[in-house]
Amino acid sequence: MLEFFRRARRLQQEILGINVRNRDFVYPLNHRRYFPSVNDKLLAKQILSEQGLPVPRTLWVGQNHADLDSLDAVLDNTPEFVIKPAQGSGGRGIRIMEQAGEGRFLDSHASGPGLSREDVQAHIADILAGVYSLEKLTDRAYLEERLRPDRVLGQLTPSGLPDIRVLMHRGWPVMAMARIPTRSSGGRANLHQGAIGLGIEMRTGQTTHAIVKNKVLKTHPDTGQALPRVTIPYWERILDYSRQAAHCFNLGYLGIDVAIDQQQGPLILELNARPGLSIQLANQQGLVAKLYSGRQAA
Amino acid sequence: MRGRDKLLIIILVGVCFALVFYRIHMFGFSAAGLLPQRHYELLLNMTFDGHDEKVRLRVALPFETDRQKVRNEFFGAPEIPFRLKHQAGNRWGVWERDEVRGRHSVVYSSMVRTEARRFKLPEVLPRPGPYATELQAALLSAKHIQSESKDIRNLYASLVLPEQRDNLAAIVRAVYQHTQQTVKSVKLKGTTDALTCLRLGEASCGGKSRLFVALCRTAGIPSRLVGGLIMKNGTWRSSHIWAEAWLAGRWIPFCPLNGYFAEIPAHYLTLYYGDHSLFTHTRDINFRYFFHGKTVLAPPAEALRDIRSQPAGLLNLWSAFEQVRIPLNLLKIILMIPFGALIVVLARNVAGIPTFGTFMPALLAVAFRDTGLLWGLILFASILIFGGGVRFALERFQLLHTPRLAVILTSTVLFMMGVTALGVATGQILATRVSLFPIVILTLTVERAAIITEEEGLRQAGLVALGTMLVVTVAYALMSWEILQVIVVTFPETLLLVVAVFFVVGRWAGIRWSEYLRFREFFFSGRNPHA
Ligand SMILES: Nc1ncnc2c1ncn2[C@@H]1O[C@H](COP(=O)(O)OP(=O)(O)OP(=O)(O)O)[C@@H](O)[C@H]1O
Repeated sequence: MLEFFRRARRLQQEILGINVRNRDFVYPLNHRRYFPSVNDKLLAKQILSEQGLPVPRTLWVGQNHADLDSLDAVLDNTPEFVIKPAQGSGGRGIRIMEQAGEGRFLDSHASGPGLSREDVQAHIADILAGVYSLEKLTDRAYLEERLRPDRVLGQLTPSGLPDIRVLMHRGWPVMAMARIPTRSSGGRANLHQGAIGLGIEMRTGQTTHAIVKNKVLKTHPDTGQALPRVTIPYWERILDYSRQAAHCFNLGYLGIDVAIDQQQGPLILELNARPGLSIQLANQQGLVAKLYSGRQAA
Repeated sequence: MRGRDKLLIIILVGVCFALVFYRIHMFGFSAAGLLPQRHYELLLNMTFDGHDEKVRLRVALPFETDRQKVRNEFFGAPEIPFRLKHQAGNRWGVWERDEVRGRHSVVYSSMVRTEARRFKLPEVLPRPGPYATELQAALLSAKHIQSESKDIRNLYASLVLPEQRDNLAAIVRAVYQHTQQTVKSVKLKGTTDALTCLRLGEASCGGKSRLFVALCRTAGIPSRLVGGLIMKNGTWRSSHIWAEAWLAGRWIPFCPLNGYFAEIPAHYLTLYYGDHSLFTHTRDINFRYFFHGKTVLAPPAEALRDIRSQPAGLLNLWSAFEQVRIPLNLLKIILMIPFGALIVVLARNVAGIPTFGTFMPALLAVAFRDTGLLWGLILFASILIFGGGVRFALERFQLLHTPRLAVILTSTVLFMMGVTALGVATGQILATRVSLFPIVILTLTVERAAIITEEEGLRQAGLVALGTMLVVTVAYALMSWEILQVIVVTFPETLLLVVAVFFVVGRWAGIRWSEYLRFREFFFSGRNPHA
């Protein structure tokens, strides 16, 4: 019992909760006016690439149904691609597709007969109608080149693209975590869908603890094998990109998602103006001390 | 908390108390005499089929006593002539007509207020002199109250020792003890007379009360049956019988079934005295009926009378609302909504309980007033399941967002129509009261639940549904807390206090309860990852 209260007290002192995150960080540091610049991924990509930061190539953008006409040419000439809603979140509406011949497309993370060209168009029409963007009634859809995981992080996942979340406070990286898709997360690197979160030591880029759905684990949930500790490749460059990216947006509290492509190296996937708090679990480290100490690590 | 937050909170609390104080003093209303009180809206609905013959229907109607007030009475039966008949302290409503054909329904409704009464019997209560003539009838043996029978006399002899037979208090105690405890309580249909009750050793309210009265009469204590209703929220059919004995110069109530000794609780409504039937009607008319009750707050009847003499008092506020057709009871509902919001705010920001939509639980709690909490929850859950099924079936059609919502909304409406029809068909009147269930809110909930199911799995959706129901239940309980209702209706400025709480929670920096759970593995492997 005493132990319980001792733990609860420590939790209170060290963990950043949603209330404080919103009250002391999101509201004062992130002006609502600047939310759209990160919530719209196309807009964010544009801002980033104007600053010379690497982002995945955009293959096609559609704003209304008429734009679907120009889609065919792209579909014909691209062996694999990713469909995304510009304003989706939590992985919603994202489809990772590859050509299966005879005008059919396979969803890389779903079983089944795959999609016809009409199905792909219907999915894009849904995106345009705002089905995947909670607050808006319309949206833009775009196709993006498919990235392939590098060897180091790729070995941790059966399928899907891991990414690295760097938490930025007033332009400084304070904490980071790698997110590894699992079978139950459907190849997407979203923690609440069951992806693995790996804490990262800021100084060295070495992974530390691992969590799945708020639970600390030692073995990979898909393979049952011990999770190896790895060093994130391009770690310094990822931190550097993050700093530069944070500089482009008027947001003082920001999550930056970076993916590492086999060939191109680190690319900025997207940004998040209300980054989640599970990063503390993955690192077994509270944010309170880091955020209030003034100067941050790294 | 920053200085300006504190200042604002102090101002809110201060203004609230200043207003309450000011109004109490300036208008000098004696709060106690004017506070709204709990009343029951009573509805009695009866139907019968006529076969071209005379139909006569007699029903006991509530009357005023020292603990019972009746107002806003309504006697509805378009084609059947009605009259009131007063007889031996009872008040009968009689509907009577020759050559009645087809189905008719007769409605009685009123607003009643009943109070609890509790009497303290002295240890020793000697027999008084001879009873007045009016009381003589209450000493006689009757068809179902066989106080002269040998068995009952023997029972009396065994219950009360000879030396106690002049102490009326001891007699009723023994008689009550026997009828309440020794005679088992069971559900019995029809009339159980005193003798049958004695022989069976078990009975329901009527048998127990008749045995009680018979034993009292054997002992020479005037006593009588009382028929009435146990008031509650909802719909029911059963009536109740208890007893009264004439002690120390007045009628003292006893309920051997529910265990009230010299006491009558607030929810007992008296309908008649004596061994009568609540309903008497012509045979073979397929007579059916139900009672419906609902608690409402209303100003006390006395207060309404001198409403004019209060220049700027609270009653005028109420009557101003009455003039724009917002009765006190509706005003109460509106004023309680912020308390529903208060529960939602605490549940979200302090406890971290996930719910569908922000203020959905508060609005649902309001809607549940019509169905009652239990049925409301059942209805809510079944609509979620049904709507979820519809939404799942719609998946393959890939409808756009808004039309899809509209389909779900329409099926929700149809579903509720179905529930209502089913209710009518099976005689469960509950369902007719769901008409105002917030269909649009429910539709959005179905959609929200479907998205959560899709993204985070059925388990999570179930958890959120449970969280919602929990919050609704607490909000419902708080919003129907009568003392709070009375305070808020009398002093609406107390809502400023609620706003103050919103400010406190709005600046609260604590960890949500759910976060203790979420971060419970925070200490799992110590602080040093390299260890
Ligand atoms: N170009 C791509 N190639 C391959 N996989 C991709 C690509 N873009 C995204 N993904 C996969 O989809 C997942 C979700 O992508 P992204 O982070 O952009 O979506 P999101 O909806 O904004 O999610 P969140 O808001 O939770 O970060 C990524 O973690 C990755 O696994």
